[in-house]
Amino acid sequence: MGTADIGARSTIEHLYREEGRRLWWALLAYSGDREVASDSVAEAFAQALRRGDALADPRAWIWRVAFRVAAGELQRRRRSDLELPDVPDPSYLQASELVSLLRELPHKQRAAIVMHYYADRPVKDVAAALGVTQATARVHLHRGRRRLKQLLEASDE
Amino acid sequence: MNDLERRLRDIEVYDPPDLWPEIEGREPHALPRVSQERRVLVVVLAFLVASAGIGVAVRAFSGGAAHKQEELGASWANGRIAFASFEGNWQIVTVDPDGTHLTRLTDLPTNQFHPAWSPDGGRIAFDAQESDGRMEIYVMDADGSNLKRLTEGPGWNYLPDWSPDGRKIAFVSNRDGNDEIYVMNADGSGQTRLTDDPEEDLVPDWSADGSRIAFQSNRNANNEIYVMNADGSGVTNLTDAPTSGEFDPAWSPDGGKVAFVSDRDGNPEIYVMNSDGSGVTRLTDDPSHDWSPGWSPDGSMITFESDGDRGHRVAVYVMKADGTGIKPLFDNPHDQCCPAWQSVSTEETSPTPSFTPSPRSLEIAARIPAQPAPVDVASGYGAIWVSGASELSRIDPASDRVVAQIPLPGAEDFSRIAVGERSVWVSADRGVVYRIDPAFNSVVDTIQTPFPDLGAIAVGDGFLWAAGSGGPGELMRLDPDTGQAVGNQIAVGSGPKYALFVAGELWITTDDAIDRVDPATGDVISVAGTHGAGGLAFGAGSIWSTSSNAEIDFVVRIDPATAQVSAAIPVRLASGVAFGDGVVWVHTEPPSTSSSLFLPSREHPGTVLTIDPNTNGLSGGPIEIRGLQPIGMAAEASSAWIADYQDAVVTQVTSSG
Repeated sequence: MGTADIGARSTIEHLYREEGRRLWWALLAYSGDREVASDSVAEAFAQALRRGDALADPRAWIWRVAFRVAAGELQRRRRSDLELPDVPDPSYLQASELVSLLRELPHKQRAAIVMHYYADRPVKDVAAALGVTQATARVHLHRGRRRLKQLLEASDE
Repeated sequence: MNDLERRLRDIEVYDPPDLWPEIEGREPHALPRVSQERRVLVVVLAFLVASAGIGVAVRAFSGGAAHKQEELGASWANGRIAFASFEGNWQIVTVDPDGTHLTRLTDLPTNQFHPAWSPDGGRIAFDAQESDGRMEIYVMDADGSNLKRLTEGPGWNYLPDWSPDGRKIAFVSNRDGNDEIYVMNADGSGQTRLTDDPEEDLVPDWSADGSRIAFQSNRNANNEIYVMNADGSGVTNLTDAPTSGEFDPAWSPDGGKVAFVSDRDGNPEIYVMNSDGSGVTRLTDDPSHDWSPGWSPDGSMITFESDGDRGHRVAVYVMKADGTGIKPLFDNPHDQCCPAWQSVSTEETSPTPSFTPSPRSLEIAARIPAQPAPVDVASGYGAIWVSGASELSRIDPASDRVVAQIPLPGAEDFSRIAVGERSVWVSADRGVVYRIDPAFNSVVDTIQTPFPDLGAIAVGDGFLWAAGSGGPGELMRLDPDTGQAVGNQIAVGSGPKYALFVAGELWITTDDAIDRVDPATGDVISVAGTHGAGGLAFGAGSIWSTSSNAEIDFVVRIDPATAQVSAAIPVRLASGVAFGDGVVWVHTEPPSTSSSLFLPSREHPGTVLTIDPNTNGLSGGPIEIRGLQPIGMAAEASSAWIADYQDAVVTQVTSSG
């Protein structure tokens, strides 16, 4: 392993320590499935490790790949199951309700909402992850936000 | 933090596992095809090269044959092909580039040869034999009417070629005892000799910018290709091949290349070289004799005539500009010669193209409310088509009114419009494509593509082209009538967004680049130096799109023949393009911030501007449009129509100069 590879590895590991949890939560909100979230995070970081210093912006790249892996997995499964904890903890209930409401959105709207409004990813990165233009990503964000607010309000009533 | 964002944080109640040990030991699945980040470096380099080339590109397309191109959506952008056909004697005929709709234009008792289209495609000059055997130059309308003789001796007058501004015709005359190049006004007046040499000067061919004329001459004992200024000065030998003969020069529409004939390999073949004589490349390689190359107005194809072994006596052939895909134009037993390709006119009465870009003033002509909020816009069949959630609206460009709203049940997520095959096509959720008959404003068919996530659609070559965007990009062609897939899927870059069919090839924007797809072979070429493209348009012989790297946004111009960026024009925040009325329309978007998704910046509103393809420079605008958050743009006549999702409005911007 050369010096450059060691440097790149250290960058990726640092990124995982800094960003891995948030990415996992975002993917869990998107997919509603722990296994999909974990697998997507692991796959994206593993691919980043293999690429070494070829990535100019590893953070954006990892978010993009992780969401695409998750989207592909959801498409393959066509269904997902959130593993709800046995304990009837009100916080878990609220979280599982959120995931249920997010599932009501088309998957691009859902991914856009989670990346942008939860994880603060810029529209540019959202567009890259979704494979759409920035203008299209904004439409998904706008529609998704409007719809999710309606759903949240309805569930609060 | 607002309520939505707070609610989203509820997800953090779950405890993420530590995945690092698994990451370190994990064998990743197949890696994505292209590294987006690595390409950024290539983009920067390519732009530097392309930008340096702009000075050269400025001279291209100055109102020449390529000036008037049908824009986005046409299934064939080039016009008809004229040639001489031997039917007892030689007569001028025209035919569509696919060999259909043959029309005989002349019916004279003698021979006619060498048709030459006027730059606007409306008239044809040709030479015809007189009763005494001499040739004279005539002109007629594209339908054969209004026949008029332009020359009346002395001597032979033949081999006409229009100047790209349509005002002059270069030709050959032997009135002084041997063949020389002359020029005259398009009405036959003002005949002036340009060359004066004891040997034969033949086959004048005007460069697209009108500044130079190429011709063949045997003034150095063997035939060579020469070039001179349009006033006859500065004659230069381009080929300089003393052991072979060079003939029939034909300047490419972008001015960068000259096709010609050479017998350097033992028999006449078609070659191409750069306009400075460098980079000679052989295009044909056949025992028969290949002559008389001529470019399609968009520069992607070359016609030529060939005899002998290709199966005809003398017949016209068509090939791609790189020499591949050779096929006969029109399969009949008659001898054919001297083909010429019409440039498509977008107007009934075409104004004379201008050599110098004239500044245009842009103004907002209309703001048309469009509900549901538009997500795409296209022009075609005399209408502006706007797609929104579950609906396609038809706007009459004359009255600026929505004249029809066509329900598209199920098209709620996102939709894109393609125009062609007598239909308007709209992609919808779950891979469905609606086919709308513009004559009845109604859905006549629903096609289910194999892609649950449709990225882009296009129409061309008799097919509907659909690209799937989930995972790696896949392209498929479908029979528009049956909806059945035809042939295999073609792998393209991931995230296809826009597609456009031009002259037998499909252009598609993906996450990483603009791809050129040859449907016949499945070959995909990624255009270096294109990234983050916003839209595709075709005009002035070029593909136009936008591109950006970390710091700069560009409008990029791509040569369809080479699939390379020929010019990169910096336009900050350029986000979409369209081509119409001889100019490239560009919209820019305001910088976005995380907190204000759609809120326009007062300091940096969205703008609309035009670029003159003659100069690759700004020709109109930028005009600031308050609130503009463009999501799509179409051009129709002298207007651009910009769809704005957030304001649910279609803005018409007109250009006048």
